Amino acid sequence: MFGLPFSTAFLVFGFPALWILYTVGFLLLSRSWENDRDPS
Amino acid sequence: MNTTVVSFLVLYYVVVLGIGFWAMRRGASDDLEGYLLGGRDVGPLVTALTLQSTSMSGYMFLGAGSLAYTTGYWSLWFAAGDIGGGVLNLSIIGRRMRKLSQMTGSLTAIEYLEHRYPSPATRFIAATLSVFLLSFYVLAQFIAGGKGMALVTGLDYEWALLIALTIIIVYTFLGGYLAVAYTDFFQSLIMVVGVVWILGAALAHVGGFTAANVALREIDPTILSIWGRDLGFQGQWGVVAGAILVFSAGYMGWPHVVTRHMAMKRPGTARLAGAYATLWNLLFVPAPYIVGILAILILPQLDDPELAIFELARVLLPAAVTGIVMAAIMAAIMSTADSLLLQTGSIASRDLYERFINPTASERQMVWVSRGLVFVIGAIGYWVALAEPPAVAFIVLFATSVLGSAFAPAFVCAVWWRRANTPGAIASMVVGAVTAIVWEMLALAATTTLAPMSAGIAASTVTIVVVSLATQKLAPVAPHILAAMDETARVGSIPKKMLAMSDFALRPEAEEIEALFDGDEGSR
Amino acid sequence: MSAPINVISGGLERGEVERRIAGASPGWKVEIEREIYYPYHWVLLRYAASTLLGKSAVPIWVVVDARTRIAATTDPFELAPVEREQLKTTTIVDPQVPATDAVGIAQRYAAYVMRNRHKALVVPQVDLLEQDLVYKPMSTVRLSREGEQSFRVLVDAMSGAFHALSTTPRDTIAPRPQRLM
Repeated sequence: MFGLPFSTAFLVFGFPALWILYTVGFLLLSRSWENDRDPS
Repeated sequence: MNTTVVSFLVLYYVVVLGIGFWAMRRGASDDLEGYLLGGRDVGPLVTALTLQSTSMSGYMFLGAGSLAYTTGYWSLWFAAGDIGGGVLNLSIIGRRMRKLSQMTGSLTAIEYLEHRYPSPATRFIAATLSVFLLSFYVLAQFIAGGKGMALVTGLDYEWALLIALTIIIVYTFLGGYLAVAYTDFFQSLIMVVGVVWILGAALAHVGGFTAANVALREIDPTILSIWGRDLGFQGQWGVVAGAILVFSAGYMGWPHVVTRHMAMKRPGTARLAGAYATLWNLLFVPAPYIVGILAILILPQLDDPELAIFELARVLLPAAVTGIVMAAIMAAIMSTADSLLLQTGSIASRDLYERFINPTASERQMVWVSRGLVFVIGAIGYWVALAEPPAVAFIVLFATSVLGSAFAPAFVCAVWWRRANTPGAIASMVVGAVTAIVWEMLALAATTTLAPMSAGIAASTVTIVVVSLATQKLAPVAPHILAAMDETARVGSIPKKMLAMSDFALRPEAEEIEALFDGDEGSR
Repeated sequence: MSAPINVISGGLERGEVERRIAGASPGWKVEIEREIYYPYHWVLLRYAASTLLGKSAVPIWVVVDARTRIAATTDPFELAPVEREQLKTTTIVDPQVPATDAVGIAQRYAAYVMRNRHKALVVPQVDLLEQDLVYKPMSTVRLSREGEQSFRVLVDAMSGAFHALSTTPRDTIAPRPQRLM
């Protein structure tokens, strides 16, 4: 891919993808945080 | 000297000074708006962006580029960790630290550590380590400023360094411009625009990403490898782990960065800030590394790899754009140096001088202590930067490894582990820092294939666990700290929704009223 | 005849407090138990510093909790004098922090906040413009439901924010001196 060996392509694109998954997971699991200080 | 570039540099400073002047005039007549409780009023976008970039500009423009230029794609291991640094930090300690710091009445990260792990030794060790290590970041900014200035003005490095350093120190002493809350944010934005612009121009110049990689393979196929040029790091997973950890987990140990958790508007701010941080990092973090790699193709005979990004800007961008981008980068470097110096100065004056030497120090005395320290750092910095300037990447990686090794377990356990106690935290900070420093000094990475970061953080993590458990009877965690940690989880029949909406800022008042009514009411 | 006390005005009415708490805890019976005036030292400071760009001076409002010594900046608010005689049913919490201490705490806090904004190592001049002991209206509200243990919450009548009571055993209250900056 893009003229890169597979391992390098994974380093360049795979790691960012893992972090995107982590972020999405975090957003899903932390939905209740929005209530953390919002008394109304 | 390139006149166009220099005139834009001057113009940029005039505009920045003008904004500062205007803000000052305006500020003189206005109330301080928008502060509510505790001055904790920073929203998610600003939290996310300033979290990282404020201490990284010198590294981004010199260090990352030079790592990539010299090691090829191997350098992307650092980016692989860095991209997730923000969200990891915010998701693990962001929200809890925001709450616990408020409940313990802590204003700075070091004070927070002392409240959570009560002992003067906690503060002394944390403050001393911070002052020492933050000075390294400042040094990195000095070198970056000097090199950038030399390139832009055509002056000799020693003169350029002196000018850059003088501007930085004058600016810090006198207040070059008023930092209305969003200054750092503005700087961050300019930096990302600058580096992405250079990346775009470089990609266009070499005919696209794939063409670039094909051309690199012809020069030396190992540039494309994940093990570094000439496969220098082949199979060294301990070194790779260090590269990933240094800007991800290590970043949870930077006192000057986690302080920003405490300034968040609401604990829930951590959530959106995490998302913004990932988006921002995806855009910004890999870019300087890729630019550095592309520079191998465009500028194969570069004398100083640290100037890879600056030189590319000069070669590829139109003069006016180079002027703006270079001016913005220089401004960012100086602003970073300024922030770091201020933080170092205030830790020295507040957490060391006032706490341990002169408890009745006046505001004036403390400012003079800070100024003295800034001057000393400046003088030593000039001498080091001139005599034998170490690589910016080396300085930043060293300081980050030591800070991360020393503090990350203490900050994480502060909110997640009820049994983490004072002896555990103190031992962990000392062992982590010493391990990372010794590892670096003795170059143990080469023989053990374990980076200082990997060794340091492993040592400090094991230490906090073992020592805390061993001294549990001797030094139990105080009940009020445990109660604060349990704040929302503990209560029996109170509806969940109500707990989630509870305002922990009222906890001190609630404790007082509770204590007051205990006598005449009893509890049912 | 004692002097009137200064109460921060514009707080929520009783009914509004009950409605808010009920909204956060559907199914629970909500009743206001006590109305409380809680003491703060209110301090108005002028923070001035000379920088390269001229003198900057801003007024800062700070409140210092008159029992816990915790300081916070605040938005301006209105005060209304209330005669103590009218407050038979209200609990007035006594201040424990002397006014002189409060001014010191407020000045330190204001200097801390401003230094973070100013990015300059300058010697600031922090002048005391005004100071007063003010009381913030709060209430304790009891929530109860068939077959469950009842509990109380403290409600800040200015912001509507609340915090559960009856959950803090005595020995878990933070020792005050440690709270100081």
